[in-house]
Amino acid sequence: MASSACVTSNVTLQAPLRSSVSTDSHRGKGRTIVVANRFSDHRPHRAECGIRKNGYNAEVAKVLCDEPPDRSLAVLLAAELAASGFRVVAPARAEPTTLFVSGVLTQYFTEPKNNYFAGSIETDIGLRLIVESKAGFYASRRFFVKGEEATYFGGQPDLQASSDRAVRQMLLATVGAIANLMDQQPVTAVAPTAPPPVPGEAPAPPAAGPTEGVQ
Amino acid sequence: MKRARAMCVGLMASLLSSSGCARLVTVGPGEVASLNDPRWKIRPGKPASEASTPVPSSDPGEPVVPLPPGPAAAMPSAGLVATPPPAQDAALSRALASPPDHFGIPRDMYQQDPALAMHRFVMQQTAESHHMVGGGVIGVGFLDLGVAALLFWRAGVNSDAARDARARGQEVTSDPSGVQYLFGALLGLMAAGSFGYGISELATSQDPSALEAYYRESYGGAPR
Repeated sequence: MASSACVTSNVTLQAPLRSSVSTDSHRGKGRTIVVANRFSDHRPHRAECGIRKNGYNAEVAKVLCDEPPDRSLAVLLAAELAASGFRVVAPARAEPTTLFVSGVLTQYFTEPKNNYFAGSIETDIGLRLIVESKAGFYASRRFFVKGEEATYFGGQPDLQASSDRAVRQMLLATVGAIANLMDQQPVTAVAPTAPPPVPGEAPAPPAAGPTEGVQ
Repeated sequence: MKRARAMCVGLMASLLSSSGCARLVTVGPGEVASLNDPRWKIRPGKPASEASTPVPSSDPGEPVVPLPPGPAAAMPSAGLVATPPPAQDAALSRALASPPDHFGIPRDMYQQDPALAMHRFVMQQTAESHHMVGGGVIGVGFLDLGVAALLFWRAGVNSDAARDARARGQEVTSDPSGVQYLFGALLGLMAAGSFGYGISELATSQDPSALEAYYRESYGGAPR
């Protein structure tokens, strides 16, 4: 059903606006934090953000991202942490108690799961976050979310809705986890370093530029 | 006739050649939990004397220790300023004591921590999209059923007319009732499938696992 000629052209997903993926969290309590402005990209399919399929489950087109998700997710995380009450600062303005957050994007892929009657668009996002300090504190955690949008036609709005929902779920998970980490494990001194290198690959470009005040 | 048969074969070939060859990249819903760490893996801080040396960004081979969940898990290190655990907040304590909803989350906690409400909103949105599609598929099922009924009615009329004509000794050159019965039956099957699938979509319930996991980690204990 969710098929046909209209799915044969490539589509481009827009990086979501913060307002459309906000978490409404307010757990920052004014604590200072630094967020890398780009995560390491370790996705298995970096050339695309997903695929489109026809009603016979054949791959017919690509889903592209207008902005690399390793960058848009980092920017959105920084913006969402700021909106939830954290003071997100540039590395140069970090205080001794500031934590540095970086990450490795392990998956970002949108694809339809069709059947005869209808289908759903699923978006998987995998992210490994690293929180570290100059004092040697190091914490890491894997996050994986699935955004799902049941659909009849599988058009671009459904793809975007699925992607946005996955991004919102990822932000809910990561902002909450960072707040919990800082509640439970106060740490000292920041190490404003580059995103972690991916084993066996060239390291990602270092974090550059301020993230303060991203809204 | 030959041209029609060739077109039919070509259509079938194109359908078969384009069927089921797509990649399957996203994981099944059941695998998502296994790809999430339930808590942070923490490597404790070095002594203050070593604090001036920047640490490398990542060292996956380093041993890490898991952080127990909940506010009681606060593990202040020497010389650190500890943030009070959330449960020490009086308003939070009152919210935690409020009666639970059907997910086991204290009702007042949704105001106390709007992120909980957003978790609930996301799972409601997902379920609603299934419900809307279910309603649409059932609507199409009714449409199929209506056309099937029309075909059966017309097939009956045509069949009776053909029988009467034969009874009068007339030659019947065309009786489409057989084809109409066939397509009516096919549409009836499609309608039945639509009703089944639509009902299963309407019955899709909300998945509270993310909500519960966030509540458990942030405020300790399982939802009530």
